[in-house]
Amino acid sequence: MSPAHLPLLAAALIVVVLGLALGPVTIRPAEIAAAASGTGDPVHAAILGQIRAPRVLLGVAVGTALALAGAALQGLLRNPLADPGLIGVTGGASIGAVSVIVLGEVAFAGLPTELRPWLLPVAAFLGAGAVTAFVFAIAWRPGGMSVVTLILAGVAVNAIAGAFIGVMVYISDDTQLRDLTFWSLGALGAANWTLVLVATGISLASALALMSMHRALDLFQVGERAAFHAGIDTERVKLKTGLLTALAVGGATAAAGPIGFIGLVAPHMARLMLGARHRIMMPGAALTGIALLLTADLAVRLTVPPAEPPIGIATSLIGGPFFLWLLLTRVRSHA
Amino acid sequence: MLEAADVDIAYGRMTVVSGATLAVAPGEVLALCGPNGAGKSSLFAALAGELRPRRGTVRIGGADIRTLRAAALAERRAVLEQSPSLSAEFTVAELIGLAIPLRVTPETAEEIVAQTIAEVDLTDHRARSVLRLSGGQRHRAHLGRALAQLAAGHALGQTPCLLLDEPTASLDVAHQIAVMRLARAAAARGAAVAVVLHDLNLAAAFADRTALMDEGRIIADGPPDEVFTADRLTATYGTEITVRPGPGGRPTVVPEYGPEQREEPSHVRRHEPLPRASGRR
Repeated sequence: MSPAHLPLLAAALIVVVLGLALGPVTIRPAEIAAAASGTGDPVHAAILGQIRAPRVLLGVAVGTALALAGAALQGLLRNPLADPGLIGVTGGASIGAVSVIVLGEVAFAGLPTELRPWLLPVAAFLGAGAVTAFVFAIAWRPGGMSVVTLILAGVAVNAIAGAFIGVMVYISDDTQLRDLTFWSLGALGAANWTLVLVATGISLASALALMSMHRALDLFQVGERAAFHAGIDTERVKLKTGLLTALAVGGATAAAGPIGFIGLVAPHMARLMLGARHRIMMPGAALTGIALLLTADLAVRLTVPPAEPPIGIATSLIGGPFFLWLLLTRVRSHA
Repeated sequence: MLEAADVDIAYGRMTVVSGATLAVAPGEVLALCGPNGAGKSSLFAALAGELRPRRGTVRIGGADIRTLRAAALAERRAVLEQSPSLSAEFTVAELIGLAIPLRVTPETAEEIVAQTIAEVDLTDHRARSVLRLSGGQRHRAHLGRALAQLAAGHALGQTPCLLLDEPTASLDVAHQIAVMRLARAAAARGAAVAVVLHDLNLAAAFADRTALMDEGRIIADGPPDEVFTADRLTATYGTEITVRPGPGGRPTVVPEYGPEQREEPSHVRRHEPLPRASGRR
């Protein structure tokens, strides 16, 4: 953290507080503090403890994970359009989740009821891991991993995943179709504490580990050979980044569905505000991801209560214009 | 000290370098010359530690390069890649400091960056984005990155080597000379400097020794005036080359540019057709 991060840190903190305060029942910051210390209104404590706090915490974890995974992939692949979806992570998670939604009733009929809620996140997580491992195995050759092959394999695998999901959509009934569509647009609402803690732990740990690779990612901007010349074990960096990205995004997607746009845009916003150095830019990207995701969540909770439109709509609706504005001001300042 | 002993390099079944033996001493500039496809780049990659020879060893400061990890290697040699690229908006100061190893203290690193920026004559541009510089300035910034890494190696108590792969390609004459002077300055500070060069006159003017490669072998290694003889260069490059002796053993190499540009030699009689039509007539 440096002074340059303060505006973003303030923005993230404000949306965290707003996320706890706003909803059908407004809870003022003083009341939040009272509830947290155990002296407040028990109704407030229940709303905060069971609904809003897990939701906000999940938002923090997912925002951080998506933003840092995006930043790391864009850095590693030297491609500003790289996004965790690109190397098949999201596609794999979708295969897992969609399989459970459409086939789960039949395939896991014998499963005890208490394990049922875990089926979808676990399947999404395993799908993300399996597909990422597959893509990496294809790109791996003796002597090194080809980044171009990695991207192309990701494109191919995403196409296959798309076809599989198409088949699942085709054979699903109306209820399944609805579940499937809503899952694919993401939501922080399904948060229960156990799921939140597991997903948060996996996502945050891997995302923070990605942040520790800032020097290697900086050096990759001069090219893989130059990075090696400067003392980076490039093969290890590629493997580590791939695995950590899969873990971070797999955990996030398992808990909240495939939330688009944050992984692509948060790193760009941070770069525009803070420069290209990963040591400074990555924490900024995480804060941007948190602010963006929680703002989107607030928007979907507050526009048409008690209904909740999917959060994926809001992330794009808020992030898109903001990103365009940043881009335009920057283009003008360089003109 | 940078040494290659009896190095063979092969891609699959194709051997591109065979039996290359070479040594660059601290304070010395060696130019590696030869036609395209002679194996210069492959030998360079082996010297830089990024390509494992099929046979033979490369030693840097006496240590077998295979036993050194990337980070340890980075303290012992700095490399400027051929046509370096950058895909992020780093400032000049950021790029130049990028390859300084983490073992160097931040204060020392800052000093090295300041000195190097002055050395590559980019002081007025230190806070500008490298992507907005001219081609020559951008190249100097990348050279600065390698020079800063080299200086860091010195600061860590090593006697590091500097490897430059065609550092003058695509630069104008003044920039070419500036780059070669920086290479000489690095040698004066005790680095062993190896430079792949296509420009034989730059090699003759700035190198202490030149190694000439052809078809994967080092066919000559010595001072420029001994290596660059008209017969040898003509045979190696397959085109007529003359060599004029110069002061201090630094010859001038002059390729023949063909009949169109050349003054007509006296033995060719006008109005008489050549023995075999060359297609132009």
